[in-house]
Amino acid sequence: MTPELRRLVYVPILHVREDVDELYAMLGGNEAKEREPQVMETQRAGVSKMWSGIAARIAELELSWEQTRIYQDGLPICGTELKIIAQLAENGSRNHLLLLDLQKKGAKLEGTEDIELLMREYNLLNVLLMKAPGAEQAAPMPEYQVKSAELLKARDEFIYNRIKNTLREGEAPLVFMGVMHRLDKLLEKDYLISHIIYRLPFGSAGAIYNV
Amino acid sequence: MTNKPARRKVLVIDDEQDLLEALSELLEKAGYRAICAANGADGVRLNEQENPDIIVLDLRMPGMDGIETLRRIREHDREVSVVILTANGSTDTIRDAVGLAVSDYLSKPFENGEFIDLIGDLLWRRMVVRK
Repeated sequence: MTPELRRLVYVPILHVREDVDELYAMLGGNEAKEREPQVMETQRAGVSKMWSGIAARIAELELSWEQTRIYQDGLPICGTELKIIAQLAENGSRNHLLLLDLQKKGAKLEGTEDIELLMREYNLLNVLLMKAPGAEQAAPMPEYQVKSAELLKARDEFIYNRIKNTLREGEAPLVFMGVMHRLDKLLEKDYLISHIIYRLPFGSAGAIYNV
Repeated sequence: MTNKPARRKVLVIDDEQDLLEALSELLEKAGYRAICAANGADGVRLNEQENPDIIVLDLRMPGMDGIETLRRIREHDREVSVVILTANGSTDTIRDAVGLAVSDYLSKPFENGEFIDLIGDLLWRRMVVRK
């Protein structure tokens, strides 16, 4: 008899560049660049609506928070996971504000990513973003896409194993992952996946990278 | 005498007749000109004829589905903003949609107010980008 699969809630998300830059700086990368206030405001407004929808749908699930373990795209295994999340939440990240809220309700936050793979991804992206938008950025784009796809695959495999190795008996995993990840394809052989997809404002979030 | 500005055009492509009518009415009430297509082939044709500002596209349609419809639209039109509507989205269709330069993705059911706000936001962004 086939054993019953455990349920896993999977939330595809979009990142705001500002959050990515701040996290990168916190992990020892370059200082976040100043961005145009109007661009930042537009990104925040669009992505904020996405997070309101996600928060409402997660509330409808009526999960037992003490039995929920959260995995987050871009959150390294470093021993200071909660501090990172609190800092990003304090800076206004809706993503991390929600994580903090769920943690206060009793959910456990798990360091999710290998820090070395994550830094390689950020460094790769940073090289691209240092170029001026337009033709200068378009030239190295194909090489970036190939390298980034390889890295994303390695990151997904790492996260898949991380979930399998850290999830305890009776716990339900809640996974927040960028839309370009294919982690759910790896997870579906072991878990019964419920996707939470409400709104994804691609246009206002800006370019979609693999971070 | 003042000339009224031309109403912005929104092409809605959806095989669910009830939803097509409801969205059309909602858009007209909000001041837009709604153009309706009940399948992908009509949607591709109406896009070329009407040159809308925004396309609202259902993913699940019999015959030509939403992604294939969008692929054909993008062969001739890289500019039009597209909003995907779907009841049962998957991460595969999301990634396909990203590759086809979709502007927004909204799951059914949704609030009427959110839909109209989204259309307004997209038009505003188009104006800002073109400035």
